[in-house]
Amino acid sequence: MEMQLGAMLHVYKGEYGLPSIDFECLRALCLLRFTRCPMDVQTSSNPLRSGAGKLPYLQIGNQKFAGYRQIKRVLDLEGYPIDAHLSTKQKHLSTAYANWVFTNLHAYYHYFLYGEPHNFDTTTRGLYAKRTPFPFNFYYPSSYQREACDVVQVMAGFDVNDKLDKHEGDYLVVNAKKVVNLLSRKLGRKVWFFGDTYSEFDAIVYSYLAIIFKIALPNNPLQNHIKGCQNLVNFINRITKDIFRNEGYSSIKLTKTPSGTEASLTASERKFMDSDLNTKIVAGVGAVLAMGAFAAWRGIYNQLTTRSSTDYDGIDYEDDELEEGLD
Amino acid sequence: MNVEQSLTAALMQTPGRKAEEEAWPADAHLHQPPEMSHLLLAERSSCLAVKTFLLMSGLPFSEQISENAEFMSPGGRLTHLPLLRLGPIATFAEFEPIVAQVEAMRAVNDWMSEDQREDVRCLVTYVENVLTLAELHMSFVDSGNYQLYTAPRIEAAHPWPLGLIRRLAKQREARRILKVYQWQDMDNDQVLHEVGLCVDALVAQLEEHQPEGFLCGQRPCQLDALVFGHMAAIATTQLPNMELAEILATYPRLMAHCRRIDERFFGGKLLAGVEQLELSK
Amino acid sequence: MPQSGRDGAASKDSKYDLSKISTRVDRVNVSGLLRTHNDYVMRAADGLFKTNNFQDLMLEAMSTKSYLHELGIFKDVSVHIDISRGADATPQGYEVTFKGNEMSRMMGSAGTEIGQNEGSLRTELTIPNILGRGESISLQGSYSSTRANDLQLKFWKPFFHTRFRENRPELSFSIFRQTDRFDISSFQTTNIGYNVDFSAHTMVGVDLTHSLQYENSIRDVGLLNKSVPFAIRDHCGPKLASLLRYSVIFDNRDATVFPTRGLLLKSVNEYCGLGGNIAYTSSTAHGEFNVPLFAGLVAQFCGRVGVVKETKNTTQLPINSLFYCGGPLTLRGFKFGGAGPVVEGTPIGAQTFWCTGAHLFAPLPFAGVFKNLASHFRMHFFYNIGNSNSFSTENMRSAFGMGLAVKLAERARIELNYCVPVRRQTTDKILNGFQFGIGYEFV
Repeated sequence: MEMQLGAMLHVYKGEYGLPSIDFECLRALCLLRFTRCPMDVQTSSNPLRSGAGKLPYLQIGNQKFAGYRQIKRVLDLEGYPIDAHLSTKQKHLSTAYANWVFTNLHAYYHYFLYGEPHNFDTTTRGLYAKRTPFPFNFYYPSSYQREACDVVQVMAGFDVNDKLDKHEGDYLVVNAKKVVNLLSRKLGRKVWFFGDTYSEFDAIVYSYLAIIFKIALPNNPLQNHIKGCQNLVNFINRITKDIFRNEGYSSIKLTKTPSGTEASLTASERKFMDSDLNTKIVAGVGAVLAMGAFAAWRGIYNQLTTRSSTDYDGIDYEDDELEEGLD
Repeated sequence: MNVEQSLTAALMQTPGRKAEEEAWPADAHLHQPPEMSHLLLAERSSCLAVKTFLLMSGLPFSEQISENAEFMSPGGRLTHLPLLRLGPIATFAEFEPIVAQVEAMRAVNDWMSEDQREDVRCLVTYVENVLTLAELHMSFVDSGNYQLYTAPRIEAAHPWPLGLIRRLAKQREARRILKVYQWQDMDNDQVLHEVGLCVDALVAQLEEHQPEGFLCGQRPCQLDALVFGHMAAIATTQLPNMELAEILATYPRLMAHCRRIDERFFGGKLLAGVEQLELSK
Repeated sequence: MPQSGRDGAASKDSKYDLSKISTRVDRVNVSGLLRTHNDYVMRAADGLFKTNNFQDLMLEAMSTKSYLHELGIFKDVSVHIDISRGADATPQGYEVTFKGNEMSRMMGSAGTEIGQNEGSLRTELTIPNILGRGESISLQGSYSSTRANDLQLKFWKPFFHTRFRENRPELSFSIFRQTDRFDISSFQTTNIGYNVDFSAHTMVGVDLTHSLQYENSIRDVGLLNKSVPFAIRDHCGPKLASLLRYSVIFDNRDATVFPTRGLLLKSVNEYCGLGGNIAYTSSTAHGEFNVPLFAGLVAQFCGRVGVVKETKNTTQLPINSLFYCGGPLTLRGFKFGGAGPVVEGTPIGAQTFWCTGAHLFAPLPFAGVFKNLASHFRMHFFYNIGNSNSFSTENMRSAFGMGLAVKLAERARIELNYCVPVRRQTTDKILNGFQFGIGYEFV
């Protein structure tokens, strides 16, 4: 079945060489690229236009499908089901394992990306703010924090708004490490978890681990643990480099993508557009600051000059008197 | 879900375990609110599943009725019930942590291979999630069930203004759980579809082990207990909207399996009434 | 108090004996009433019209002034006494004018409060005299670092202007949310509810202050950490309490913080179980007797006793109504709650307790040098005896010691004591050495 023309998946732009910074977006992108669904990806859209208040969303004509679950349903119907090449048993296991990974890593992901105050303030807030248009970028990243609050409360049983020493992050870390160990064992030396064909399970594992592995957070205990599992690192890097060759993005030009000049060109073009907007804002703020500084300096300068001129007056006056006295 | 609990679970995971078996305390108590008057569908499933699992494992315990068991619970990610108390301090809540604790104390699944154990553990999480969420969805989002079954039951458990407050709090809590597991926008049909997928997986598992008799082989394991708990609770809880029970009734093979477990551990009492329900259809 | 003042003034030899100047009050004016109804201050004049000499007039004017203050409508009041003029003025006729300055429509205050183990910020917003007869509404909030925020909205109405003026009847209604932390037993309770309070004085023989309260609240017990003995965990969850509380106080001491003579008796009785699912009765009594000795020394004897009992409907005595014995306010030399029953190493409240204390208060040496400052300090020696869950003296706890006590804002007392526990039980948590205490009511 042919995908309707003009279908477009809207996601957050990536960072650290990843195609997207957001788990849900990455998961949706995996569906798209694993199944080789010919659909355009838009990385600079307004999350508030999705209908659900956040990305990802799929637009076909005027219809919008927000969230992973709906996008998956649309792709299934359009003839791009992700688990199509698996046997029945594998299909069941794929769903079950995907659910199991979700249950065990979702709280870790949300706590360390959005719930941990230091991580959020130094890194995550900035990542989301940069990808949201101007007036909304102040408040919008906090909606992720609120969501994380719910996730952590339900799945880990503590309140993110409590004092930091009451956060039971240890439990999450222990659980997450356990999961990573098991995933590493399950993957072994295979290309995909079920051998030669991709599955939803691969998509969800990649989406969590790639972000947790690549993101530069001040506090991210799982990162080193993943580094210790070489087969998982290879798994992440292979998918990032091969499948998301065109979408991988990094604001710092360290990870070069030698092939796909057109894609990198558009990416850099977008970066240019972005930097242009940034320049405008910086220029505006700079101009206001400069004017303010100038005005202040002028004010002080004026005061200084008036004071010194009166001094001169006084001396002049005395001089006159002296002259009179001499006369 | 405290740290020690997860640490013991982590210890259990490490290969080459075989830590010496801890003694099962003489005063093991299973706390739950009165089943017939207070428990909601999802809570009842969880309590039944735990009870079945402990019976299967041959571990002695005494049942205790505590109206406030939900608040005594040390945590949990879905229903917070039931509560297993081992000795004076240690408490565990919900099916999976209790199973993990029992596995840490007793080698209950030694006859399975490592791979099989992992598959079972993962299927348990999957089944627990899907069926519990479906039950929560049916009891709190389906307006008929909520108005006629869930709301009056919660309110009856507390004196007046408190009952109202508890009802709203529990509804908010249920909606929050559904939101976290990304089930909030689903309608009844989608929920039933998810349940169908999950039960398909179980039927496939059952077919694979058809000659041996149980879901994972010749001996009952936690997956059997969990499936039985949910199936029995769903089939025997009278709701205004019985869609969930109806969809399960279309899997006669799984029902027969549950009936076998019922015969073996409960003397066939639990599912005795279900026969008529099916016949009347 | 007017009587005593009158006697004192009369006995004094003065050039002019004011009591010999006869007067007649023709007119009493109260000015400055903007929002207040006239009938609310009507009784202010009652006493003044009865006076017949100038001294009485002056004293009565002063007591009227303080009465007007108590009505809770004026920020300050000034008194003017003048001979009356005009057509209907009598010879020796006087005219008394009270010039009041009404309180502003809204008053706010902020301060800090020191609780059991932490400081909290307290803010209060009051709308005084809202309906013109002294009614006020106040909103009080305290915020502490542990997110245990207390809130209280209170409506208060005095009936000082009625013919029961002498009884000072007042009625209040408040809605509150209050969190009490019992760190020693690792649980906390959050109370949300309302209470209605009626209080009045009676003067049949002795002056007693009565207060009758009805409280309806939801009490939610929650745990503060994960590994808690089951005996405490068993109490978790919200419950509905509906209770009557009656308290009576007799107090003839000459000061509240460092009295030199007098007796304080106080009793609080609760009956819980008028609906709801908590049932118990609880009584506590507190007494304090002061005897002045020589050279500024004061002997003080204190005692406190409390009992919680089941009623017919009790299924489980609520853990948050039990008593904790031990700590700087009760049994010095023990940690807070450290002299009571224990489950699995965690202290849990007792159903009954008693506690007595004998003190010897002495002014600081060299107190004469800084007279003003020294009045805020006392040295004291103490001996405390007490016990939980037993009224026998067999397994009792006791401690003695000495320390420094400081008066804080005429209400609270701060103590720094060196304590030596004498008798203890093996499970008790003692504190041999310096102990710091702050509170309103000590034993």
